[in-house]
Amino acid sequence: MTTATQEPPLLSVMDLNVAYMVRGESCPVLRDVSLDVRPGEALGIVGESGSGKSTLAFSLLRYLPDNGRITSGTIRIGDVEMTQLSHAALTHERGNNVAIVYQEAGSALNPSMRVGDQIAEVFRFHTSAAGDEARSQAVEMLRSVLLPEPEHLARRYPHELSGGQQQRVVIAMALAANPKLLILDEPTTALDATVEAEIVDLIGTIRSQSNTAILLISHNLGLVARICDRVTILYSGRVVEQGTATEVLHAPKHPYTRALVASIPRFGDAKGTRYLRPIPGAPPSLDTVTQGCRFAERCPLAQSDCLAEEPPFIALGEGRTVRCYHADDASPLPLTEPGDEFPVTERRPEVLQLRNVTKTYKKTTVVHDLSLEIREREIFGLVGESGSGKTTLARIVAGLVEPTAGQILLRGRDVPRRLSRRPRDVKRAIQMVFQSPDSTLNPRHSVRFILQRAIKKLGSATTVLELARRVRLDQAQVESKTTRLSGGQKQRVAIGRAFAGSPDVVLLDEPVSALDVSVQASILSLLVESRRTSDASYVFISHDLAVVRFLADRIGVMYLGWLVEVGDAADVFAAPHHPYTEALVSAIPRLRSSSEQVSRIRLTGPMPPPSADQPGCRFASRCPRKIGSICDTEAPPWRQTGNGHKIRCHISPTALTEVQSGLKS
Amino acid sequence: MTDQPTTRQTLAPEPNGKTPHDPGPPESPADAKANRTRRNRRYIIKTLSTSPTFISGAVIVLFWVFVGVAWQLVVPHDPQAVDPFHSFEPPSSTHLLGTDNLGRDVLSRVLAGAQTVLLIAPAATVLAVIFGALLGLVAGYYGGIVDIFVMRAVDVLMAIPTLIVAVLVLGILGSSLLNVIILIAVFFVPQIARTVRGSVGDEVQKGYVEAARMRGERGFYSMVIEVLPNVTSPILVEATIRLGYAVFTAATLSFLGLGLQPPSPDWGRTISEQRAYIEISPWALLAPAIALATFIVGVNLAADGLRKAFK
Ligand SMILES: Nc1ncnc2c1ncn2[C@@H]1O[C@H](COP(=O)(O)OP(=O)(O)OP(=O)(O)O)[C@@H](O)[C@H]1O
Ligand code: SF4
Ligand code: SF4
Ligand SMILES: [Mg+2]
Repeated sequence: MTTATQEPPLLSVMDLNVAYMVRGESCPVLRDVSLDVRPGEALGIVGESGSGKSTLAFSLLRYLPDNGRITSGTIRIGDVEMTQLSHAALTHERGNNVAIVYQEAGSALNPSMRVGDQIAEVFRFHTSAAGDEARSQAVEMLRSVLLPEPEHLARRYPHELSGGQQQRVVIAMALAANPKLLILDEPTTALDATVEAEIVDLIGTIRSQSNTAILLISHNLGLVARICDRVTILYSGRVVEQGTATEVLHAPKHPYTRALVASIPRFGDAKGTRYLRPIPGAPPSLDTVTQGCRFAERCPLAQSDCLAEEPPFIALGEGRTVRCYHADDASPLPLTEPGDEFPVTERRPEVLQLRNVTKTYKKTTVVHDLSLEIREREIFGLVGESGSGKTTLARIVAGLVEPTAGQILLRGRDVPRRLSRRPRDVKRAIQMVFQSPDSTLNPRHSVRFILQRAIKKLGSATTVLELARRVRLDQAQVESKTTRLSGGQKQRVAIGRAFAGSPDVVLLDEPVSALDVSVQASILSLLVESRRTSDASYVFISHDLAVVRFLADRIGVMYLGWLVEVGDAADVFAAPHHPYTEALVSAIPRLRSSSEQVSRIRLTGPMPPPSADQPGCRFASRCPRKIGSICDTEAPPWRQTGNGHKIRCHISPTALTEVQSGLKS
Repeated sequence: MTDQPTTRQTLAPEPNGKTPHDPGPPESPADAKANRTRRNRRYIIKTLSTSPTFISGAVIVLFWVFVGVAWQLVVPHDPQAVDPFHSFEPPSSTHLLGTDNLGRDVLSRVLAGAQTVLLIAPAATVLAVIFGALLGLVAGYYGGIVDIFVMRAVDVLMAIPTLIVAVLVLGILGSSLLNVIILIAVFFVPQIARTVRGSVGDEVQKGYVEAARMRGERGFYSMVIEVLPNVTSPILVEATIRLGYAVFTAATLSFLGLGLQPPSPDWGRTISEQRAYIEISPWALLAPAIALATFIVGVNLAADGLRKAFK
């Protein structure tokens, strides 16, 4: 215990216990949570959904919902004991020393007020600045969160900003009071990979410029690795492991942390090389009383002593503690067989062809003259930022959106644009899994009803139980109402439903984005496995590039309605690739922390208005590799690099390889 | 910064409130929190059974329902029995609420009068709900031209001045129980159609309806089996609100002499009849007026309780 402890902590939480009153009973949510954040330090709090991360954030500022209560423990911020404060003192403290940024930035802003005025308000409230002075400070604040043209931007309304810009405005508002501690609750969960990377950058800048300490709450291990110095792992309301980010994420000791790290696809992982190990089971519900270790039920290393008494903290070194009796047990976690991966090396016949598909809403072109082939039994990953038209494309193929022009061919036969015109066999052949697990199933129906109906309408010989078994649902879940299921289970039912009629093509629109990492793993491995028993091809849409890289055989990259690159997954992820793909790939957070991070390409220019059908390359306004006016005036050609890999850019593949590999090494 | 966390209360509100037929932006991020919204039956029952608003409303309504059905068993006198020797009598032990201009027992007439309201209002509401929900379902489910057409028609119907039309129609067709019921129902269809249309529009965007379309379900099946069960709450709430209006409208019509003909003890009719004697026997006017008021208040309280529980 040397350097780290010399400075007194800015935030110090000791044995914090928080409970929610549920139906008249007090359910403990946080149990004996202790943590410190020193000035200027960034601490990450990691845990699955329901582990109490948000509750912790809320209780630090005493923002708990009405039925929540701090039952014991202390929270010190600087010299102030938060648990004892009066209401007035609390308001002062919240404004001046601590600021919090919630997820879903958009809803933190007042939609009817210009963003500049909203920030100026904070200055007026917390400093003596008034009128013009507050306004110019607001503009400065917007500049400091790296927003382009802050004077202009300050006069805009929130809905005129993109998600990432809104998030920055919210951060600017939080920073306006110059807090000593900034709490960020899942600040990037709703954002695209490139925008997420910008926010990460911004947080880095804030830290280097001011001495603001950061408490980052996230379930994204890559993000935490990128930002934080130290990490606290929360499981079922208890701290189970604590230490520096490098130690905890690279040499995790607690079986839960080890399982968590094993369940996410890391940069460059592909299904052929690595098996994602889902954590079996689910965390105990709040009102379950356990005597021993909270993780015992799911723990592969559990022994009899684990059940007798809750393990205490065991110090492993400086600032590193683990709550496990067998943390020194280095034996590998038992892995399930990866199974022989279906080889997709040979070129199989094409199942689905899109020819010059275009979709225009009024004047906005959402999908522009797009041609694409999906081969038999292939997983085709579709990536691109929000608004790039991925979902629209999938919905066109599904028949839910009518294209303005173009043709869809299924095994060479023309597919009617409208769903109602499609023959039964085509409907069976093309199925879709939707993004939100909560609206994908009818809340009034049982799982059995849903699967039964799908089998009946899509016509196949399977039974409900057979189908349920394939997506790993048990009999009890089959009989239950869909509202009883967790997000992951709902998504399984949706997958089962899509597979009811042995489809040729299954469109999966962000099927795991709404799920916890450990649940994601189980759905992804289910998808990989399903390929062994089914002939279906997948079109897998995701903004999480690590996931797409893991799953996909081939990848298509879209930018503002244009397809800019197509090729085998490995080819797309390595040079030469399209400058836009290059930026996307460099934005993926790596679990390997700071030392191994590649330098990231920043996309600075403005997004062109989607309506502008200007000549030239769509990416020209943001392209870091733009070569000159030709990019603005002439549409780039497709260039082949072999192996079916093609790039739409004025720069030749050889030249691209040169500049891109130069940057990488 | 305000005093409250502006976003993301732990028990999250409804997921995205996309406007119907809004094509984009198609890519929205995870709405992971939505699964915390618990709208299960047990929760609704629990909220209702602990809501003083709903309970008092329900008690009042049930009381009048009981009276309307079983008034023959509870009336102290024959509500139609005329007794010229005992007209305008103030409340007494034999006539708890006094007698009217013809010497009829006011209490018995008030109790018996519940029957017509209890027949007309629910019947009209049920009719209006059936047709309104159907229109709303069709408009919301098919969207596009169908939607525009249906909703325009509904707008036109809404713009019609109800009372004037009622006077005309009942004047021409003659006033019968059935005519009154149909007329009130027609007046209420637009509002119900609108409400249902709104909720259906939200549901149609959801994956389960699109999945139904993708497996080739017919429109009617999707509407009735998939969508309808998910819009029952707003329909139920709207129905109770309409029920209150229906009671009032029925009373207004009979007050104007367009309802049932004398000697029916109907409340609206009685209020209108007894207006002339307000100075001599105010009780004969007040009793049905209060009865009407309590019933309407009761229905509205119940409606309010329901609305909160379904929120
Ligand atoms: N107001 C409340 N009343 C009762 N229980 C609650 C309340 N808010 C949260 N909970 C429960 O407390 C537990 C912790 O919730 P919390 O929101 O802190 O988790 P989290 O780790 O932030 O999850 P997520 O990753 O989903 O945001 C959960 O089981 C949740 O269901
Ligand atoms: S204490 Fe036992 S059950 Fe708990 S995590 Fe450690 S080994 Fe597993
Ligand atoms: S064509 Fe020009 S602007 Fe477009 S990606 Fe290539 S270099 Fe960049
Ligand atoms: Mg949370």
